[in-house]
Parts: sequence; structure tokens; C-alpha cells
Amino acid sequence: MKYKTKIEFLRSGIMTSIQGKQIQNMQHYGVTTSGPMDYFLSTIGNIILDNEEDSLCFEICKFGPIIKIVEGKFVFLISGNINFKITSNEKILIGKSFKSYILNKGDILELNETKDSNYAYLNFKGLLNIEKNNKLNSTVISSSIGINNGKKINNFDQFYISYFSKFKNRICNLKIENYYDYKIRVIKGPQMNYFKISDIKKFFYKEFKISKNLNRVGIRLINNPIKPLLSKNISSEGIIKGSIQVPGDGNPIILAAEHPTIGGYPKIATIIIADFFKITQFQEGSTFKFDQVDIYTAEKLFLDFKYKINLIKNNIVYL
Amino acid sequence: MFITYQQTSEQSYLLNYGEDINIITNKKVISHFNYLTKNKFKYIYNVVPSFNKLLIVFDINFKKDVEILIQKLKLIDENDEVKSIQHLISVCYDEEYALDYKNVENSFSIDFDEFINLHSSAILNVFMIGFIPGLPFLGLLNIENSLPRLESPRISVPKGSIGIVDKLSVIYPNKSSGGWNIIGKTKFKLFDRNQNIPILKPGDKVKFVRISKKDFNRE
Repeated sequence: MKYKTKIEFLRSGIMTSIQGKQIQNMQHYGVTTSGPMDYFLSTIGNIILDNEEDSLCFEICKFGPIIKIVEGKFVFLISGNINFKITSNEKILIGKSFKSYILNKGDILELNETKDSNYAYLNFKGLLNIEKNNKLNSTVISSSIGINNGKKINNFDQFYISYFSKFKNRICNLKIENYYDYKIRVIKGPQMNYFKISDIKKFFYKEFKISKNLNRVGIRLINNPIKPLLSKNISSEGIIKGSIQVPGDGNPIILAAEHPTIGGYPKIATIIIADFFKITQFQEGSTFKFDQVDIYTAEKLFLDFKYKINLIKNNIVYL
Repeated sequence: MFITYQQTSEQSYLLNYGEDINIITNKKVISHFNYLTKNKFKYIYNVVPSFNKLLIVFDINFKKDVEILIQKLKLIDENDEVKSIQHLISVCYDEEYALDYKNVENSFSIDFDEFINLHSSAILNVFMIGFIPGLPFLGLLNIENSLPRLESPRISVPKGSIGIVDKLSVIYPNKSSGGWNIIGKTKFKLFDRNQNIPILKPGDKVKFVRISKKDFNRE
């Protein structure tokens, strides 16, 4: 493989990292699954570019990087709600999401703030020169493990990308807001019976607020404390993304992409896969409610979600 | 054999082998864990053993296969003798590192020195690895009184810290947040960062060896 494209991060952004396929078969080592927080956006970005759905991409959190094309051509697309501009031959172009661009040597891509959201994705064509160490195709920033040695992007990091010769620019006409709402559906958690019936009711009818503690590990909720009936911790057990655990103070924590692999707090509910990506985009201070569905509905909604993603292919227009 | 199981998400089942934390129950969990990992089922994404439970995460398109496999597991009681290694881990119990030794004295109603003797003379079982990469859950200490987690967890527990809650002990492989009572520190490496595998595995044994601060600093 020849790497003819070279990019450099002139500015890293607040928390930019390389994410791809979830890490598998390592949770019993204490290595979490990781991967993109908003897997809906990362996936559609890859689909529009004709990549594998979980190809590597750059995850941008809140405030993005500035990238210079040092050598070759860089074919990319921005998936998400973020302002960005391209400087090419001293001309400035305001970028559009879900539209591909081909940058040349010397061009500069500048990503700024995410709008009404936390995460956006920079999807690209070609292979990154990063050695895929064992089965680790994503970055676990919290434990410094995974691709790119488990590190987030730093200022002046350089990457080589295999050259991609034939590419037809394209745009996907997509009303992204149609896929996001404040309806978060959950199924019963493994320890829902650790809570009083009145507290379970309160969990569903009262609004929660997103606290300032939100990151790739977890999202802390406030304004509707639900105290576990049994104050004792359960014996620690394997846990999964989307699970809602409730510590002694009653303020729930939603386990996110880099969740611990084992946990000892009672878990009242689990957010369904078809809705989890939405909550990763809720900003500090947002309020929302949980809705309960049964496991069969959750499974059906997951298939619908996959189907909806596939339909997006029909909206791609080649330029 | 597990007693009950439940589907905990679109793509996971949690098997429950009994309510108590004990080595016999944990051996059953590990035996099924070994069976599942040895057979490398393509549709299984993760198998996570803990004290008394086994979490199975799978490809949603293969739910029927997983259900059949769980029924099959009921008949499998592999008591295969897994090679168990005993690890000697030197610990410095100096007050500088034993950040919560007072909690130990108060809750266990013993002198910290007495506790050190107890902690460093026991041969502890590795129940599972997790929370963060390479962190072992060890037990059981021969103590009847209860020592709960810290009321508010530390934002940053120093790397190599030894923690205690009730009859259980952990070692933090890295700096991390955590709510366990800290009683000492080790330089023992717990995770191989080149191969991305933990040094200890479930079923292994651990014996702590008390060393002086002088020896610890020389290590």
C-alpha cells in the first residue's frame, strides 16, 4: 500500500479521536468497546463515501481541528452539525455537511463549533497508515489503549492516507433533524426491582436534565433523583453501553462508549440501540424524559433503524 | 450451572449462577466462560465473567443461535482443570500509601498492623478482571465485619494502589477514579501494553508480600 496523502493537524480541537469498529472480545480484560459516540452520524458519513459502515473516522467533540493537506489529495465528508470552511488558493469556501470535497496539497480545512450538538465526524476515503494493533480499531482515550496508541489527536500530529484516485463528488440530501428528538426509549434494567415502584414511576414521568459531567465514559443526569431501595451495591457484573446505573446519591449515570467493563451499581434501565446515539448529542442543561418499551419492540426498532440508515443511500446525488 | 438468565438488551444476556460471592460459584462462571471463548463463536462479541454472573454480548442477527447455545450451556459443566498460577505481589503498606488505613481500623475493629498480617498471609483467588484494563478482583479475606466503599469516590486513585471493600481486594493498574479504601501500593505490572492482555487471569492465586518503604523505593 502506498501512502501518498499526508495531513497535519495544525490544531487538534478539544477532543478529536480516531474511532471505528467497536472493540470485541476484550471486555473480560477490562478493555471497553469504545467506537463513535454518535454511531448514526459516523455510519451515514461512511455510507455516503461508499466506505464500510464502521471504517475509521475522526470524531470531533464540541470544537474541531484545523487540518492542512501536506501532500496528495484528501477526499472527505463532514457528518454532523458543525461550521467549517476550506481555504484553497487563498479562496475561502464555507463547507456543507454530508457533501464530499477533494482537497489538494496546501489546502486547509478548519472545523469550528458543533451546533446544538456535541459530536461531529470527519469521514474520509483511503486507509490510514495507523497500525491496527491486534483487534483494536478504536481509541479508548480514558485508558490510553487502542488505535493511535489510545491517544486523542494532538497539535501537529501527522497521518498518511493511502491515495485514492477515482472519486466522484457527491452530496446527500438529508434533513438531519428528522432523525433526532428528545424521545429516549429504554427497556427494563437488570436491577429495576431494586427501586420502589413510586421511584420507577418518577423515573418515567419526571424530566431529567443533562449535567455538566458528560464525556465518552458516561453521561450524568440530574434533577430527578431515584434512590435505590437497597442501598447496598450489587456484586459487580459485566455492563454494557446504554445501561443506566444509579449510585447512592440517586443521580443516574448513562454508560457511554468508553464505559467501565464491570460495575457494582444497580441498573434501572437500558437505552435501546435505536435511540442511544441521540442522547450523546444532548448538551449540558437539556431536559428530556424516558419512555419504556419491551425487549421485542426494542429489537424491532433496531431493525427499523438499520433499514432507515440503508434508505439514506437513495438520497445520494452524484455531482 | 446457571440458575436464571435474562435478556438485558437487544444484544446481551446475563446468566446468574448464584447470589453469593464464593469460589465454587465463580468456578462455574469461569468454566462456561472458557467454553465460550475456546469455541470462538463468530456471533459472540463479548463474554464477561464476574463473581457470579456471565454477560454474553452477541450479534442481534443471531439471537436464535445464542438462545440455543444458552440451552446447551445448561448441560455443560466443564470442570476442566485450568492451569492456575500463583503470583507473589510485593506491597508497601506504609501510611504514605495506605490512604484509608483508618477506615480499615474503624470498620474491622483491628489494628492496621494486624490487618496487614491478615492481608499478606491470605492466598487470594482472582475472581475476574475488569472495570479498567487489567484490574483484578481478589478475595476472600477472612474478615467478618463490613467495610463499605468510600462515601464519595476519589477522582484520582494513584497507580498501583491496593483497595479493600469487605472481604475483597483490588489493585488499580493505572491512575483512575475509584471508591475502594486504599491500604497500600505495589509496582507489580498488571497489564501488558504490547500484547494488550492482563497478567492475571480468573482462577489464578495472589499472595501479597509486605515490603518496607525502603525496599519499595529500591524496586
